[in-house]
Amino acid sequence: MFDIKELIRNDIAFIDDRCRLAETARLLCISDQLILPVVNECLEPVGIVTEKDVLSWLCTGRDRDAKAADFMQTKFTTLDYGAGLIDVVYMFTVEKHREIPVVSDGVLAGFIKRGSLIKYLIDKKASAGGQPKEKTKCGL
Amino acid sequence: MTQARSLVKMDALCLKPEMPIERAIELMQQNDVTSAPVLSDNYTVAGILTESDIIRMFIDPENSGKEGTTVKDFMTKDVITEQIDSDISKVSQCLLDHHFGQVPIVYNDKFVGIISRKDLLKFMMGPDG
Repeated sequence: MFDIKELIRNDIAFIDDRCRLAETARLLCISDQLILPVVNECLEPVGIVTEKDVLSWLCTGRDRDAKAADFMQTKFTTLDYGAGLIDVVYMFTVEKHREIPVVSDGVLAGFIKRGSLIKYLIDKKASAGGQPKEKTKCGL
Repeated sequence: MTQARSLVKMDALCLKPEMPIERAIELMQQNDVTSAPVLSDNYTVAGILTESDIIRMFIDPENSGKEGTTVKDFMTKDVITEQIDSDISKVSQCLLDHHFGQVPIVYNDKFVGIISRKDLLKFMMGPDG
């Protein structure tokens, strides 16, 4: 039985819409996140900022003192805490998201990375009779 | 003018087309990367394996439980690359125009390394942000 909690990551960075461009970029650089959820005072997501949003803002030479409200995306996708596996797979394949915020009663509960879904699918395949994984150290 | 060569990361994880897909996934997870270039024997970029490709593999019923599948069966083959002497603004535009997290950098068609959006972001913000 799929439980979305197995995929959710709670220790994530998020910002509010007054966060300056430099701090937003810094958080994106020091974290392993590709997106930063933007939340209001009730911790409800009101937008997201992606690496692409910040890069695009910088490349077009716009105001470096801008706040997240200026460059965040207000049309964004979230997953509900009760979402099923099909919903999650759809979001990561058809809609091609890489990271999706998860909300519980409208409040940010964490997010899911595409890599977490892959790990989940591998583990499920292994527990369904696949071969045990062998630890490897090098690439080519 | 800053060229791609000043930002290119040369120790990126690379895969081979004949590598078993399970091993490729394991390496991507160990190295915490969302995609990896796939190099042919002469170091040209044969493709790129992304997390989307991997998820597609899992949900395709034809591949369920299939043995002996390799990276080349699932990789994205049409790869856009940038030259080592390309201006950083051109590399940035490439990453913005397409939905790529990183772009392979080549010299005389041979793979040199990658530049990611994060690398560009760090460069553009500078040491003082």
